[in-house]
Amino acid sequence: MFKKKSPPQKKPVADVGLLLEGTYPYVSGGVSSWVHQIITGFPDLTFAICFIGASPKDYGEKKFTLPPNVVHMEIHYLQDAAGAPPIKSKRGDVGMAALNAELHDYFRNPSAGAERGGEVLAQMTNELEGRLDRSEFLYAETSWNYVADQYRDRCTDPSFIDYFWTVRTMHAPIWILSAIVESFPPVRCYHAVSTGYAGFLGALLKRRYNRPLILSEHGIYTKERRIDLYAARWIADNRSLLQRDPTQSGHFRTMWIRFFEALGRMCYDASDQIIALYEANRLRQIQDGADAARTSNIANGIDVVRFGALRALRPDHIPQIMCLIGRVVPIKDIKTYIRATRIMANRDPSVQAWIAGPEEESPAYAAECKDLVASLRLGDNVKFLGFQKLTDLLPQVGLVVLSSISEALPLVLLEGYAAGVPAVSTDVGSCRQLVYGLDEEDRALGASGAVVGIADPQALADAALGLLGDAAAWHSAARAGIARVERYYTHPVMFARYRTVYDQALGKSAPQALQATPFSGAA
Amino acid sequence: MTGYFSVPLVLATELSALWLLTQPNSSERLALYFALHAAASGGAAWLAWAFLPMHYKRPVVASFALLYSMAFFIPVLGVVATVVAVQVAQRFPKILRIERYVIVTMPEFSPVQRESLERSDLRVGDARRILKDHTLPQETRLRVLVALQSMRPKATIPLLQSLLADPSEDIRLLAYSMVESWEKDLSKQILEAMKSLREARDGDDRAPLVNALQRLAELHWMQADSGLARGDLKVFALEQAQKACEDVLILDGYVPSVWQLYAKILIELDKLPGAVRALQLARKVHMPEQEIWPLMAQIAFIRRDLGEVRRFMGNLPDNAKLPHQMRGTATFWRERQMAQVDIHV
Repeated sequence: MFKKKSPPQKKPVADVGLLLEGTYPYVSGGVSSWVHQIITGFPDLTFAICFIGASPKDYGEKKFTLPPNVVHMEIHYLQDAAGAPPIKSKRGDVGMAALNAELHDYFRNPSAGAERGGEVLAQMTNELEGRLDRSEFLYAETSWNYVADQYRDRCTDPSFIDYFWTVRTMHAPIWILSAIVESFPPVRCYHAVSTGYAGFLGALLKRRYNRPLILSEHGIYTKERRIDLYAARWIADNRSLLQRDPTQSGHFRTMWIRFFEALGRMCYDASDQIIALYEANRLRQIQDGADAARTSNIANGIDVVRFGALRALRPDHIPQIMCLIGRVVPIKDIKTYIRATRIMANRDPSVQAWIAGPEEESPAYAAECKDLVASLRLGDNVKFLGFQKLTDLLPQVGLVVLSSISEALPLVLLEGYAAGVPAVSTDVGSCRQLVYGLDEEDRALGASGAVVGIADPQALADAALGLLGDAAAWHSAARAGIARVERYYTHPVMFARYRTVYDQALGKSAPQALQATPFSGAA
Repeated sequence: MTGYFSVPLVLATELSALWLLTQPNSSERLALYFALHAAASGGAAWLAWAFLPMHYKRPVVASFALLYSMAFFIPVLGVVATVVAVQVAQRFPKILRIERYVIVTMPEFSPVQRESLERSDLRVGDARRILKDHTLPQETRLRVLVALQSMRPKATIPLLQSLLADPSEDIRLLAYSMVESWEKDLSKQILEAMKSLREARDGDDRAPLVNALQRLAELHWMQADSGLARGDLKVFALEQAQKACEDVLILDGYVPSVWQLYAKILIELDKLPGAVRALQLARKVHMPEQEIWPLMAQIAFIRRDLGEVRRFMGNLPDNAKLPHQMRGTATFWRERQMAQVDIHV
């Protein structure tokens, strides 16, 4: 009854439609570098890029020059206030309202009737520019009634106004994304580099045009949003002292978390191939609703030849310089690195700690880090270098340090290894695997550095001093790093795996039979 | 009633004007026609305007002008159309109304807010046990962890720091974000205190300088005491606090609270003789004895001189107003003294 025919299939303008949220080409960092690697690593394929950002003020100039095989690029901002439809009174579509209620019931309990959930979702996403357009959401009486009923039935926060605007704010990007679905040029397959909004866009495109969808997740978007939301101070909680149960997070906080979980689940359900960087993340994807049969791991790889050539430029002695290579942003926990430097400087006042990475993404955090340097009296020890070319930097340093609280499979460690520099890293993402090895054969290569707990400056300082002050340990770690990166983390290994992924997606890029993909929540 | 009598008059005037048009042309007749037609139009407009519902009559000039124009420029039909329009507007107002909004029923005001159905029987006191139990569902542990946000940092920071090595990344990251948030607040206060100190140093007045140094000493002490600074960083924070205290005491040696803080810092730095000297000097500047004896007892305890601990705690008067945490300790040692029972710790 609600099924909408697939649009006529136009000639594709590109092989791969890359769906990117807050990353390449406007943000430097691991994910952006990886995207650039993929585009340049497949010169025989053409790419169309859809960049989704929060607001234009968050992004400056492009950080990468687009390779010639990028044939199309479009930019969209989710906080773009323009474009709200003119206000008009409408009773609302009763059929759509019923489906909407059914869909939200499925979101609350995805394991109850997965197949029907998939059908409902398919019907509703097809109507986002039709019977369920934005004016239906904003102005229809059915919409108002649903919000009011949900508030009465479920909301544990006393403020209806906050509830109403939370619902509005939360859902607004959906119609911006549905408009992108109509305007994005035809491609042979879609490739989302995260879940979240980009992944949801991928799910909408997949359902609309029946082209394969690949999902490559570096971090786990849903998990990161969840932690952000638990710690966020901007979310209102109007419960009184008597209503407040300290073990229950506020209603709006829970709503936001569930919203991103639902986006992630819809992306997993629509994806033909779900790729993680390492096993722990793949297991997390399955836990969050991904079909295990569609998941796999493909590790990052680097240009070992280019970085290996830097070993000839290294001095004979071990430079007593450690370097944190990364953006100066909170997730890198630069402050722990600075505090560790204080501990090291107490023992060796000549120690040098460099921070090589752009500061413009979070100027407030960069200022806090500089203030910390001043308050710890480390002006002679810590240097903020800004963005640096790694080929110039790596021959000068004795240690690559990563103090991040969250990482996936950081390229900088691999690039350091190839250049003969061992690493000290926090125990996040796949860093333990990169330092100590994954399987028996890998572990036999030895430790290419040390791993310490997050936010533990004492342990970080001890590990860094342990390597910089012990030539035998340092050389052993450097040798292990070179062997590890050359065996497991090279471009040819990564590109071969992705070649298979793209071949599979492009091989079946002819329109598939229209069918609703069931919710994986039933699994 | 006057309005109904006016209708024949208006019609007669208009018909007279029309009759003039059937007569041979002359400029006088034309002028007379316009005069009669204008008068008839005015009458028709007035009639129509008089019958308008009140909300159509405003603004007066504009609504009358519209009606008059209709009557004047569309002879006969204009008047009829005006009358019909008025009747339609009067009898079927919805036809002419442009509706942009609909009336929705007032939301029900509920004096009792709905309670969460998932309200748990978890007690915050169980937080440590729950958070340390990795066999419990992650969701339960996360909720308990969130609950710690409403507790005092000093009580929770050691627990949160132990969670930074938790097997669950979600737990680790949330614990980190909570510690980081407190650390950020304290660092901000330290920077503000340092700024005040710089400004005070530029001035001639001694009081702001003493205040700024004292504030800085207290903040560095909080870094160490709360557990935010650990290991060498704790020592660094304590040394900064010690230096700030010494600077205050050089400027003004009669601030008992600074002597007390100075003694506490020296105890933490394991500089016990210095701490004893500081407390002796504090007595001389009339620091209340009930604040001195517990610290002296603490030093004696660290030295494992339990007899001295008993003696110092026994010096506390029975009616001493002690901090909550100290009361139990004082009671314990006083009882031991009264019973003259030796104890082994």
